[in-house]
Amino acid sequence: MSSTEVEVRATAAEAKRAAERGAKSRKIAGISVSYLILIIGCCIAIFPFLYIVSLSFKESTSLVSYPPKWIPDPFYFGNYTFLLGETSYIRWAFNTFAFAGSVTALKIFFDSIAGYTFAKMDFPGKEILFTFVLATLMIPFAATLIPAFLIVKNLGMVNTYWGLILPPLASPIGIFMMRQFIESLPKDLENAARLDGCSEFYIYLRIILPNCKPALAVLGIFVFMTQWTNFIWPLVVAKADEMRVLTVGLASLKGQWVTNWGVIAAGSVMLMIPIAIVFIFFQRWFIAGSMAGALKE
Amino acid sequence: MANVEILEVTKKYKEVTAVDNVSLNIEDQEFLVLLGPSGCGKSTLLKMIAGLEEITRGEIYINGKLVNYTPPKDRDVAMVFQNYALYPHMTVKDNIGFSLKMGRVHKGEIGKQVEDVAKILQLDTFLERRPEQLSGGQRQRVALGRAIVRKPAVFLMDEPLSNLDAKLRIQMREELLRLHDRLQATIIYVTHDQIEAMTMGSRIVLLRDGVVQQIGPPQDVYDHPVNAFVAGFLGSPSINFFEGQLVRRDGTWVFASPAMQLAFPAEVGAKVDAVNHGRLGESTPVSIGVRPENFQVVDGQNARMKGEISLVEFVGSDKYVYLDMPSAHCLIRTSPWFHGKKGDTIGLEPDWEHFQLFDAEGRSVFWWNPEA
Repeated sequence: MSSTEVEVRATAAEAKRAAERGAKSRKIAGISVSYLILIIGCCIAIFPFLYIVSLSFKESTSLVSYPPKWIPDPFYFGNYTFLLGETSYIRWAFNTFAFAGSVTALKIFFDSIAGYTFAKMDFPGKEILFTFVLATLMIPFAATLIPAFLIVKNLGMVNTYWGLILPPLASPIGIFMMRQFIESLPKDLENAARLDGCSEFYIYLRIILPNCKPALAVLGIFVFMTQWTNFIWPLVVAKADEMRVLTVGLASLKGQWVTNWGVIAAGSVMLMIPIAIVFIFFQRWFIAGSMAGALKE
Repeated sequence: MANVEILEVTKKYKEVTAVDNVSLNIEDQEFLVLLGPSGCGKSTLLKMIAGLEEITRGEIYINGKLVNYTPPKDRDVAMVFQNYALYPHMTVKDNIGFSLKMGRVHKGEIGKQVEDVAKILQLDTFLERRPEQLSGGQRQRVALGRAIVRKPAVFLMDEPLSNLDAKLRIQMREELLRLHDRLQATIIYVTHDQIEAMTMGSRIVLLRDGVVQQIGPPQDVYDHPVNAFVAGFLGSPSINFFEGQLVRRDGTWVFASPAMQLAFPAEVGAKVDAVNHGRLGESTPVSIGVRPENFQVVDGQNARMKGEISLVEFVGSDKYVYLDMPSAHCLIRTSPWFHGKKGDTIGLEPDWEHFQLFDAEGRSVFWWNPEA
């Protein structure tokens, strides 16, 4: 090999290394910028939450101080003890669990079975009925609030769990979501089950439902979060103190002249914890569910 | 095991006829292959036998019993699906045993039967795995196991090998044939792969647009196609067709086209006369079909068929030679030692033993029987 050839090769190798170094540093810069943006977004998102947590550990006299103190000094637990001891907080929390939990469980059942019916079964008028179900999405909640209240009142369900739970079940978004997901499951799966001796309900229960876990998790989290923070409907239908849910109960602590923001902050923190737990618990399925359409084979 | 009788079965989806007046009699222990291109109605026919599709018209009998209104689970059939249709949330063991569980078989008995089937299919070490943890071939075997464990009267297989790679497909083909021998089962097998059909089927049913084109043992259908579609569908590489006219010169039938003037030998001419019944007259438009392996390469100077080589493909055991002819193309199969190269002109002589002649409608002059 001649010396010129060696030199040419060495220069080419050097150029290649330089190009690789350039590409690497551009990649690092790109990642750094994305992380920076994400960190700023994260701070903006987490700021109100931390502010409320901080408030909940302050006495009412030191709520507004200058300069603002992020870390309470001293840590004051009075807001929590007042909330748990002097108000019906525990009862409200129980009501909220019963309300949001029941709506979630019932919606998962009804929406998945309706989704299965619309996705996989043939019956006359199926498309028209589905369009009709979807069309109800167009009706704003405010328009149905009074009629729904009147129906519940006439049925004698005001200040009852049934009054709280039944009307929110009639929402079509879950049916639509489940139908779309179930439609993507191969038809041969049900056919195989049919040949194996399953009835239609058993196909739904034993074959379809276990394969819908991601969609069910997404639906469950959405419904639970929506109902956990639902305010208007429980406010209208459950006025008695022992039937109140947390959102309504906490709002009732706001006085006309004086409001103890520390207590309300403590209540809000405790309101958020179950949702955070539910989200963390179902996160894996939640992500799988949102990616299901993209990655399904 | 059982026989299956299909009587004038038709399936319509609104205006589209998927299966048109099909009649078949499948003998006990027969391996019958339904063959045809995509959308020809073969899978629909299979699903009608399984009870997964309603029958628009006609009757299906399994073991002499009319099953038109019998639900799938009571027809005593098992099906292997194209995409396996294994239950993703169950283990191999549960997948295989699911039908027995549905049939309320005792748990201990289920375990025993599942193990027996798993041994036959060499799945005994995978019983606790889920389908996603298995390879394509293993999944296929689980799907087979699920069918076998039911000990059905009839096995229905809907393109079960189409998702496997070429090597595994050949292996599974052999395994399926062994299984057929072992179980002495009646199998109705759907495929669009003519090699699969010819290697596996004791009889082939070739379908096109929902209509049966021909039924018979593979070699019969291959050698004696009733029409140009059957001739073109079976065989790889495909048969060569040449369009032209049939003319009579000096008492001899001659196939005349821009590519060639081909006088038929006396015995072929006599065969044409014997089956003609006035169908073929002077200057009748016809086409001739010659399979790639039914040509002999002859001296190019005096040959009646000549072509210029445009491409030579070496495929190991053979060479495929593509030829350009005046207003025609032709593909022949030669030995791997053929030395011709691109641009050479070679002469050809068809093998008159395997010569096909089709009329203007594509019906075989020799084999299409208008009475059938």
